[in-house]
Amino acid sequence: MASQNKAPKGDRKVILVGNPNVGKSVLFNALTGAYTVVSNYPGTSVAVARGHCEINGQRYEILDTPGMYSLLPITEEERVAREMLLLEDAHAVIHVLDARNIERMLPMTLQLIEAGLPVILLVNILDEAERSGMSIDIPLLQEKLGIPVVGGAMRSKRGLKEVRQAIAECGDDDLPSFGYSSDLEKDIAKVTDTLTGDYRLDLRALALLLLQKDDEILALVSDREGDNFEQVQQAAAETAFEHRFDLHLRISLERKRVCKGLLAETVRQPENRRLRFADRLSAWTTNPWTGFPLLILVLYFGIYQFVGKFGAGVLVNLCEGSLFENFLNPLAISLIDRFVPWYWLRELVVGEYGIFTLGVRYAVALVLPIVGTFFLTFSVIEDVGYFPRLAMLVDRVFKKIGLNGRAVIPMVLGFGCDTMATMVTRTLETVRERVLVTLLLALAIPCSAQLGVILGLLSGVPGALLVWTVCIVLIFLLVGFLSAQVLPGERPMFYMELPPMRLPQFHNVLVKTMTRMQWYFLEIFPLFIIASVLLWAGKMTGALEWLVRGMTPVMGMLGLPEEASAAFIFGFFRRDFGAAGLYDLQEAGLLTPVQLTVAAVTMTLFVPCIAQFLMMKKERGWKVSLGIFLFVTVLAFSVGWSLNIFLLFTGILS
Amino acid sequence: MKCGFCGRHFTPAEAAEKEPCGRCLRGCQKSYCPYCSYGNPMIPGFLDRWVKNKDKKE
Ligand SMILES: Nc1nc2c(ncn2[C@@H]2O[C@H](COP(=O)(O)OP(=O)(O)OP(=O)(O)O)[C@@H](O)[C@H]2O)c(=O)[nH]1
Ligand SMILES: [Mg+2]
Ligand SMILES: [Zn+2]
Ligand SMILES: [Zn+2]
Repeated sequence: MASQNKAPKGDRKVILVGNPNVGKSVLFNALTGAYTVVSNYPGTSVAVARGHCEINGQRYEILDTPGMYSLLPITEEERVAREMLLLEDAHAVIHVLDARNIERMLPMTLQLIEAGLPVILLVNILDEAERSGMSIDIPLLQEKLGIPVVGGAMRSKRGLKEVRQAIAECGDDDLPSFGYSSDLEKDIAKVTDTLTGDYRLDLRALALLLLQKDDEILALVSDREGDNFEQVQQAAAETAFEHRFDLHLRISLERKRVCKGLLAETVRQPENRRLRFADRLSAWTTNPWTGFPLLILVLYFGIYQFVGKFGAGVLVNLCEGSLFENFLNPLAISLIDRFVPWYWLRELVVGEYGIFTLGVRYAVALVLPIVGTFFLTFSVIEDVGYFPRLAMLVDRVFKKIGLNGRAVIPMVLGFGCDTMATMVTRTLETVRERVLVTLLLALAIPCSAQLGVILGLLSGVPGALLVWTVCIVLIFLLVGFLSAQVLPGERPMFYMELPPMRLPQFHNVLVKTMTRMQWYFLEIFPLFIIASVLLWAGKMTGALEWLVRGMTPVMGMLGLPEEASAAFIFGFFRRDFGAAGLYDLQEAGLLTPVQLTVAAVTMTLFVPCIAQFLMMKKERGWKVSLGIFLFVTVLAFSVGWSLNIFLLFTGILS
Repeated sequence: MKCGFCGRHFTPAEAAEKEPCGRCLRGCQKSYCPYCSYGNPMIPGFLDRWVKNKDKKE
């Protein structure tokens, strides 16, 4: 057990810990008054406040820590907070939590108790909680937890006296322990049995942290165990390996289960129907049987109806049809015709590939309404808190069928377009792994916005949309399969506490939508302009015609008309640009549903666009990137070719 | 700011460092959550001030 040295050399230390924004600093000020020192924690840039207070003639040093979410630190601030807990010889550790979020924050109290720390729990902000109709039976909670529990509202100093008293009375009582499920306990015991060193932290807590591969703890244990370390590490590694994916999640779920039990009788929530409905909905979203139908509903209404029918249908017709076709284009063309005598300049501005008639029109009239509605849907879904649940659903289902969902979700949810790049730079050991990852990178579907555009454009032809969706799902499964080959046993990314589901907040959604739209527009606008200038140059020099002629046999193979090659050339700039080109062809009645589908699928698979290709070249060199380019191109066109044959043969869509 | 994926709070200084992917011409313009690495859109100044005002009122 922890060697809690209670004989104070100087003042006894009291450490305040808890999530950010729960009132630690308010408590700190209430306890210490004016005499406080703020200084950086040694070796870090994190500021820590220290002050003193006297209770019954005994002086205590109070330490205010930065907020932390769990004993597994991620940020530097969390690291410092934990280091203080591990290294400072605390007389008492006060865990401050926000009564309104007690269910989410109580698991950390368990973690602290588990660590063998002398914990006092302060249930703060009780004033607000009570105002919303919540009531917490503090004495009962104290009884169940087995540690001192104080309820209060530190801003109005309610409960301060009890906190001071609890500090004074904090003694050497044995700490309670909470049992997890028996197989988890067995795993813990396997590791604790091997530990022989002397630690401040409780062995059980240590074992749990070791199982979760905490590097600092590993270093500490290696230091204390000496020769025995190898054995400890082996025991931990074996157990961790058996449960590779879900250990984290399991431990956190176990803690939650314990907390739920603790809170069931002690907390009375107001009879709030919406709240309970949100909880139930949340459970539905992550259960595969209900989760998929829900996902389909979300996609149907959010994407198909709103983005596809409204954005790509109504809004695009308005902008493109009424504004550009009927008004702006004729105006621009007549102005240019009247004042510009040079053919080349007329072509550059309002020609077939004109800056205005192609670049601006595509960007403003075609793409903007679609990404606008798409980002609006995206932001609403994000604000509701659906994404982490979707990630969990996909992760679960993929795991069940032996795939790895980690690579798929990031691609779709805009987890940084660099997720794949990070994977590549990770130390991959075999050539096979490197090739697979680079291939993933090339196959990876770029970002949600580009997919959204293609999706919106296809919505006019429901059958095409469906076939395209099936193809994309197949690609996702392939990516999941490939990444399961490359990254087995990785620490799960989606170990997480789910944030509560809630109704979307209007101004949040608005701000995020506008931010995303602005980003996207600034991103594509110059590109569309540059692309139309290049296409114009190609047309003027005849290079384009040559290129189109070169591509015609390929188009023929896919069953596409010659005109489609232009769209594919657009697509090399960006997929959304290419999709806009397809849309144009479709509007002009040049594509049948089968042709549209084949073209869209091929284009989605095809080309890592210029920027992506250049990056690949930078990281992998010419040879490999050209190889991959060829591979992906061949793959894309073979898929297109087979899809065309398949669709024609089965008669689907015709 | 609050992460749109995991719901945790972090300051711009804590945002995880990410290498730009090279696909975004003007840089990725996102601040990555240090907890889950979700790319939250970097809200431009004028909108940000608006959000802050709203938050103060709440
Ligand atoms: N209603 C109410 N609000 C409180 C109470 N205690 C603190 N607050 C408010 O909660 C907010 C956060 O308080 P802080 O003390 O700064 O929180 P902290 O835990 O130190 O946060 P970090 O330093 O970020 O980890 C402040 O706006 C306080 O005014 C309380 O008892 N009741
Ligand atoms: Mg503070
Ligand atoms: Zn996050
Ligand atoms: Zn990027």
